[in-house]
Amino acid sequence: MNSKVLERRLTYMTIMAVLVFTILTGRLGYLQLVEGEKFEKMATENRIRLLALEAPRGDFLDRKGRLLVTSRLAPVISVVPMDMDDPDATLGRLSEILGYDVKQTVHDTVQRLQERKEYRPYTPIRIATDADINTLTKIAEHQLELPGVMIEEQPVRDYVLGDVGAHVFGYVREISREELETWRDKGYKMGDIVGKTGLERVYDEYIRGETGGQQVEVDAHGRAIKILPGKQMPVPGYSLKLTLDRDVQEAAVLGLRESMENIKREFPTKAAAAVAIDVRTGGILAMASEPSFDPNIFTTETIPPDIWTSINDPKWQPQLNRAIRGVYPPGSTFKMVTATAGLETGVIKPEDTIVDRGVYWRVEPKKCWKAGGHGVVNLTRAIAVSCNVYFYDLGYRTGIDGLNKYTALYGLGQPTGVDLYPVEATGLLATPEWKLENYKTLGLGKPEPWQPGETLSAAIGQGFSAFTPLQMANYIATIANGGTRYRPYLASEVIDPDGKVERTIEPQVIEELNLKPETVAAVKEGMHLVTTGEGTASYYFQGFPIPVAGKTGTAQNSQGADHGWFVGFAPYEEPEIAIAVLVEEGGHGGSAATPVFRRILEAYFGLPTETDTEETL
Amino acid sequence: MLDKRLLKNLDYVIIAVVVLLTTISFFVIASASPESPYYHVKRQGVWVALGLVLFVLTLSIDYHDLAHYTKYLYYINLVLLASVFIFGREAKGAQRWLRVGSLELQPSELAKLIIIITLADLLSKRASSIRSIRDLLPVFIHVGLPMLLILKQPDLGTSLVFIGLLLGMLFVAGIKWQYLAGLCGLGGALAPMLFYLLEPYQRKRILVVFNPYIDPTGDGYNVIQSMIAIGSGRVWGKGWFAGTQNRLGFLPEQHTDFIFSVIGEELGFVRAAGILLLYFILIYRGIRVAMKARDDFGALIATGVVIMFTFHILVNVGMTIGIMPVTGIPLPFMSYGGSSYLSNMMALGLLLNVYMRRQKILF
Repeated sequence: MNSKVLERRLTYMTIMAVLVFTILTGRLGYLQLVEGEKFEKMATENRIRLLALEAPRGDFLDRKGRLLVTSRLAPVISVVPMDMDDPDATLGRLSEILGYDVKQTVHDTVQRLQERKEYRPYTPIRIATDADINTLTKIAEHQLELPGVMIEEQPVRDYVLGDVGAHVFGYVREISREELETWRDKGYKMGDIVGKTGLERVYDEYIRGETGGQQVEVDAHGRAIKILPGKQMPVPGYSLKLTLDRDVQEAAVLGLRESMENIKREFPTKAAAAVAIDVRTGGILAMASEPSFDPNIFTTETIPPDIWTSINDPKWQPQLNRAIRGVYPPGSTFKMVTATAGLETGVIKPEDTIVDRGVYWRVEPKKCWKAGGHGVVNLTRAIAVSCNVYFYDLGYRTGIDGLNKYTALYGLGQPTGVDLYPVEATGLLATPEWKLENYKTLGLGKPEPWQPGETLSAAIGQGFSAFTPLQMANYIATIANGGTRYRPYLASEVIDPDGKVERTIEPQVIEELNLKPETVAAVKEGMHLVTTGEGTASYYFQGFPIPVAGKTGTAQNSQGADHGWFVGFAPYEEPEIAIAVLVEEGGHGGSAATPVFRRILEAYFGLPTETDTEETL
Repeated sequence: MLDKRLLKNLDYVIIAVVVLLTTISFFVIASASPESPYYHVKRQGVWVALGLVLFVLTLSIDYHDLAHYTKYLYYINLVLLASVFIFGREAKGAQRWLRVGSLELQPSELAKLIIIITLADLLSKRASSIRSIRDLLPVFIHVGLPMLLILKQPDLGTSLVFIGLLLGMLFVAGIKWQYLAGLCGLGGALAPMLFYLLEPYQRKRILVVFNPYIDPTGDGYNVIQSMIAIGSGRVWGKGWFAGTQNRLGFLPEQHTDFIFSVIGEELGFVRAAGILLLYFILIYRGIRVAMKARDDFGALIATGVVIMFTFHILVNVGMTIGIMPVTGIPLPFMSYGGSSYLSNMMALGLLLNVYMRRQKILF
């Protein structure tokens, strides 16, 4: 390198440096000296700020307008970081009064806000929602020792039915970091209370409302706060009118609990689900999943450890919505699919009979559930007595592809499109291709072709296929209305805070099955016979004033006791409601699930319940 | 070791400037921490103490010895930068931090120093043999590799420092004007393409410079609030601890990236310009070190340090007064933050190292 060149170039560097600093100083002078007055005014105006006023979330109403979920005002304890002279002392004292440590909570919140550059020392940080009166009194008494601690009324979610319908309604809680990232464009901000599951989540944008604001002025030191005119009232969220019926919903939940209580000595289960659908619209009248939880607990900042453990019980999983996320083999409740396939493909006519001697020999010896068999059986009787041999034969005639075609038409093994979160399970419609692809999960060493015996098992619902209770209820609804498959749905209207209907969600037809009227009539008749005479469930419908159609099911379960099913609809002639009830490991479908079905019907038709009648006698 | 005769050769003007800036920084950081004034000050005190140790260490090693280790330094640097992706901690959407014990360090800060040393070594050996654009290729790769790793974190600001170092050091190394002009032309042509490759938030930050009001609640918020803060300080400032923009939390990151906004608001134009003057003295004396260096290697090290400081001051202060994009580059010796202070002290050590050993000492 040439030292002269070096020197010259370094001189240029010096000139560059002079230039840089001239620009910086010049711009600084422009901002501070020329534009200073304008910016000073803007800085003063900055002392006027907007404090958030939370909006109450919209209500959930049942189909008759009765309240299911609402919001109420509750005292909320917050701290304003700017106003705490000695944060350690204040938070320490506050922890004593509340009985748990709040320092970490405040620290974490401040840190999260700072990371997002949303931290403002004058914005209150929520410590405890819905504190009890003793705590509030203590705080009021010690106000002087607690500068920066404030109590304000804020709307809090109120699930009036407690643990009834928790899986449908869902729960709300502070927005998480991930949700904030995903919903960035939708105007959510840190600290927002959002729907985490259920309808609260799906319709959050409608329900949440708009946060209002209160103009407040702080002085140069940011101490005294003066409330200014110009309050922007929060806009309450839109309410949802649901297809649910509160009575039916309650009957479903209580019915499941009662039934499990009755069978607990023989079958100690806690898990069950029930779904009721309006067959004319696809509107869900009731959806219950047991065990349940009380979504009100999520509105408080700290959930007691014992409650936290119980709602996260790994064995029974109370937060799991079994009605849409539980997948079970259908057992004999599947036989109407086989019947439809046989009648529609024309391989049988309703009056065709077979003779059941107790064993079906054609492929490999397969027994009927009744030793010695049912004798002469036609289609309707086969459904009524749940004759396996009849359906083995029918499955053999239609073949697996024929069966699967009608299974799919009924919507089994595919998402129903219900408006719930977490998303429903798809279930499984097992095909020969599926078996070849999934040989490993079946414990097979290599891909093996579909066996004729597997078609027979599939024909009576004991194959690989498995469905959700919602899919089963919708399948029955499709039979009941004569072959129209609707999308099951929960929200029917969005209502604005003034009571005006903002949006109506219309029933949606997913598929017209175009079944022959004779097919529908024969299948329905068979289901009706189930509840009368020699039918498998007739015992449970003695003296029931409305003619009913149904089907029991007992699904074999390799993990434990059999799952009990009952599906059906009513009234038999002009169907309105279709129901599927499942009791996990509940043994036989008749004893575990049928009483629940009956109880739901009683609620729907406004009949006195069995227990009521006993009391009056 | 440090010889007494060597110590006589130190540039005490530079030292005085840094002592002054550091002292001022404690006062400004205290005011810029509205929640608890001494939390950051105390921690910064620890960094300053550590920084002194590193300064003395860097000073005591003869910079000529560094030339023997440039290869190792270069590879260690790459490994450190890559390790951020494996062991690093993510914050604010970028992976920049590495945990060592209880300390969190940013390898990209050290990377700047290492690239100054290794590039100075490379150019002092090769500069005179650069006769075509093709001869520049190894130089580009040398700077490009670590730069890409940093860009991937993503840390746009530090990557830009690398471009500044590359251009500035090539210039001082004496390569032809035409090449530099060609490089700048090429850069200008590629800029729209690079702009397209940036993350959307980075693009927005650049656009906000031209018009902060396009996004007054998001990225523009920071720039607008910073300009309000500085402008409202006017001639004499609102006084220490009395800046409403700062104390009431309108300024973002006011103890780190936006510390100059606090200076502008609370200390006013006269003092803020005075602080800029201190920085100018630092830069001016730094260039003088490069001129007086005993050899090309020393001159280029000093040039690198000067460019690094200048770039940081320009981009950081420029950001607060709305003429540079928001890139998260700290203000040397002023912003709160360990990695930055330590690397600046080491850079200072390098600079004075060159100055101190400008004469051959005869024993």
